Amino acid sequence: MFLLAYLAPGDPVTVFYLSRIGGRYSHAELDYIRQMLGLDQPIHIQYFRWIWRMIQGDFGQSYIWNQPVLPLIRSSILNTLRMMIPAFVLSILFGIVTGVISAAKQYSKTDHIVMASSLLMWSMPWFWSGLMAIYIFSVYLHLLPTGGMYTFGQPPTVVDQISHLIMPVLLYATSGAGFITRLTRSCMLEVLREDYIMTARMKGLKERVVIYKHALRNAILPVVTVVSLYVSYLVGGAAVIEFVFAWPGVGRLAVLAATQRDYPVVLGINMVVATVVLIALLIADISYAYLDPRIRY
Amino acid sequence: MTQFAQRAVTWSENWRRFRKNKAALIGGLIVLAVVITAIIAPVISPYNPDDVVAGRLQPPSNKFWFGTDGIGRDCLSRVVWGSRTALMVGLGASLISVIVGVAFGSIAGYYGGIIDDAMMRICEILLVIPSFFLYILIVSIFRVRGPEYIAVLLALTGWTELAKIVRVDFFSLKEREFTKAAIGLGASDIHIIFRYLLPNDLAPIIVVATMNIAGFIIMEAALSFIGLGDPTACSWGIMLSQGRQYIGYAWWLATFPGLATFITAVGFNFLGDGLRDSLDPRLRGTI
Amino acid sequence: MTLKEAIITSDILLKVRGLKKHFRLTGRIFKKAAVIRAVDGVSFDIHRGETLGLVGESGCGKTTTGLTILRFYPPTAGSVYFEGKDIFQTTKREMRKLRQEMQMIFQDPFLSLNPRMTVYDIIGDAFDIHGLARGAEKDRRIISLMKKVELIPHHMYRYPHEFSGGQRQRIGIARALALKPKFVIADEPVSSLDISVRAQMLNLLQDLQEEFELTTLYISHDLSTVKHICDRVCVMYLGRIIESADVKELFNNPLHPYTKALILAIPIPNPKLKRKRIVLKGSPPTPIDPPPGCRFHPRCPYTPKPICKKEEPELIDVGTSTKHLVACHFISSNLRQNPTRHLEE
Ligand SMILES: Nc1ncnc2c1ncn2[C@@H]1O[C@H](COP(=O)(O)OP(=O)(O)OP(=O)(O)O)[C@@H](O)[C@H]1O
Ligand SMILES: [Mg+2]
Repeated sequence: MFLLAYLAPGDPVTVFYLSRIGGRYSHAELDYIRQMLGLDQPIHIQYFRWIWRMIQGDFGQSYIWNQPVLPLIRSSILNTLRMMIPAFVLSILFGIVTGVISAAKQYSKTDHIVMASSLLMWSMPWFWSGLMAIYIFSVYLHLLPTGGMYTFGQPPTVVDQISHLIMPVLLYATSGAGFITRLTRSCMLEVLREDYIMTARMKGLKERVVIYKHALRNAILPVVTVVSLYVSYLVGGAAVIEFVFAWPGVGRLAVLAATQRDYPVVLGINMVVATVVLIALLIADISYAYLDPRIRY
Repeated sequence: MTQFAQRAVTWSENWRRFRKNKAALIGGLIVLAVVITAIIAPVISPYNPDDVVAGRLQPPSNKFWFGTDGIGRDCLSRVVWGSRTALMVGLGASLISVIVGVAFGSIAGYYGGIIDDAMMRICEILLVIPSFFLYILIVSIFRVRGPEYIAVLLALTGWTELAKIVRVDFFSLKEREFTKAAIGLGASDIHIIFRYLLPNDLAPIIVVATMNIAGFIIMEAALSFIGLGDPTACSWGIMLSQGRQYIGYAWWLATFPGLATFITAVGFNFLGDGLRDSLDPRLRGTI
Repeated sequence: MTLKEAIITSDILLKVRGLKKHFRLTGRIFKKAAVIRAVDGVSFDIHRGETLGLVGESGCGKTTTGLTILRFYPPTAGSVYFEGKDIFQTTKREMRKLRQEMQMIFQDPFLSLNPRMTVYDIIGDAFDIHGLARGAEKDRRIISLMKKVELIPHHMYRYPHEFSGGQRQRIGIARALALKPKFVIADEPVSSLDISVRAQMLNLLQDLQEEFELTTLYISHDLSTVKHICDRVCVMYLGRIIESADVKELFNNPLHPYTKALILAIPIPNPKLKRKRIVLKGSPPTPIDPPPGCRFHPRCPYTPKPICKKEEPELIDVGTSTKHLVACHFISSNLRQNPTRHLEE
């Protein structure tokens, strides 16, 4: 039942999404795709044929890289995950810690400072801070490489790759941490107002135990849910970071393909990313239902 | 219930609370400064932003405070004029998203039921679509690159949060007794929405709209930065993307427009945050 | 014969028949959706010019009855005729017009006024909605209404939170009277007010009733004010009416054990006068699962007969000179031999 309910919004997602692309896309002068699909066919037939090929895994040929789209996307997505996952873990850890501290000391000086700096972090154009970091650490101090995944002409080593990862991961992490800090704080404050927290306090439990054991456990769930809702947004943020650091991920691939009008690649990426996001949401939803005793399907 | 009673405060009281909030006041001043800069850009910018006035890539000096760019235009003048683009995109996109989001949320929240279900599905779809990749797709297919198109694109995918807030608030507002009283007087749906429900939901709308401005300005800069903007436009993002090309030898190219973007975003975010605290104590501390 | 009595006619203004309003509680937590039978088959008439009291414990469904009559909630069953017209059958547009004739005064003046509107707008909105008056004419009417409810007209640009509870309730009354309605439902209009202003408020209400020739449904759990203000009284228990009669008749000769308990529970000003009280057992059951048979039998001071647990008693007329309806098996079995007059359907 749960699956049905969730797939219901999921299915129109793909349909709606594709029909938007499909409908407009035949109006645009895309001869390449048109030939591929058959010009004389009515739009909806073109469109269904195209979907059908997609489902079969045939995303067509890339225009500029001159190879099938799917393997291209697959390898770039792996690269993206290699950067995104450590960054994501970092920002969640950091955000939750600062958010909890801030909530535990609501209205204190610490709270005000944390709130103000998280808002600063949130206002940061992260691609710009990326440029500044490159300037300081690579151009000026020669500490870290400017971008890419490996140093050219050297055998790939772990150390080398980590040195390439440091800046993008840290920057990506800070861009999300501000948001997660504020989110955690408000969820914590909500939980701290609840009755069972009062009971725990009245039982004479130490404030620290109350906050870390009882409150945090209940606050984490909404934090995770909200964050999972923003997955598609996070993916967009990753794309810009990849672009700054020339990290060969899926976002950069999309940007390059778009600026060079490699439509099969752009379309393929949109499809794949939408699917991945959908799966991520699905997993978040299932685990939510699993973790939260109040929700049973 | 008493929360709503508390909301009934006069504007002078709001202003008093707002003034006490230092961060908010700073935000307000920054916003004011940016707006004034944009208005009097022709007066304060030393050169025409599109004129080649010197050799290329000149470092900052007395004559060119922010240096010159890749073809010899004055960076200070371009940063000053860029504030117009940024504000236009931020305010324009925010305005459109408020109109769409509030209309959508009002209808869903007021009528509820199947209408609401259908409308929320649409919101979910928009949330699932990685909007960033959608921009890339649309920009690349239609070759619409000007800031005004980007503003519309941003607005059309950025209204869902507002719609959700308005919808949830309407659920409770429409059950309130004063709304019943209005129904009892024979008021039409439109009359109830505009005179009774929306005025009581202005605070969160203003707050979210203000903070969205910051987000839209950053997004516009990001899209221009990765090369999806109009390269001839005078926008901070375009300047940043040029700065990336010359990152090895001209630090000033990226530093100043980025700083301008950052400061403007800080201004709107702090203003919005402060407005939340003073307009609507109920929301204090939410993100 | 007082002036008030002269106004009351035999002409029925509002006729309520078999009115039901059930709320469905849906929740994921409870697998089974619970149904709250807030109003469960209520019938009564209100004659033109009269004030009918609707009394009962908290939660027995008085407010819901009022709100459903005025179509604030979609009814579950039943019909309401206003001047002979079934208002549940009217279209949304017709209903909006009809609302000019019937108004509500709400229980809590802190919740029933829009905090974002001035008094001027709150009272004047009625004129805007129906396009009745504009400009100077609208101002004049608002000022006159404010005077009638004893508010100071130059406060008209103030917001509700700048007024006391009593003043707010006056604003609510002025709003209800702006359209010159024929029928008003006053839902505990004084219960949220300070005791010291209640009497004043009730007097004002009575004066306005006469001036505007209002027919009123007065909802209250406070029998002493009902005695003071009403011509006829209906007693409600768990979503049903269990007794109704003229106010004098009801207070002098209450028949239903529940009514007796209510009347004996009224505090009397003179503490030396001792009275035997009927203490009801238990607390009122929830309207989610009303007891079978007579809803009152679990708390009845009489020893319930088997029929009390099985059959729901009907409202029958046992009055001698005036109508006196009661729903109790003890009363009806005593009268079994006499011919009974049912409430006409
Ligand atoms: N909108 C609603 N949704 C669900 N249940 C409701 C709703 N309104 C009222 N109820 C329930 O219906 C029952 C009757 O409520 P109602 O407000 O009519 O009682 P009342 O007699 O006016 O009480 P009081 O004297 O406290 O005002 C109560 O059990 C209440 O919980
Ligand atoms: Mg009530």
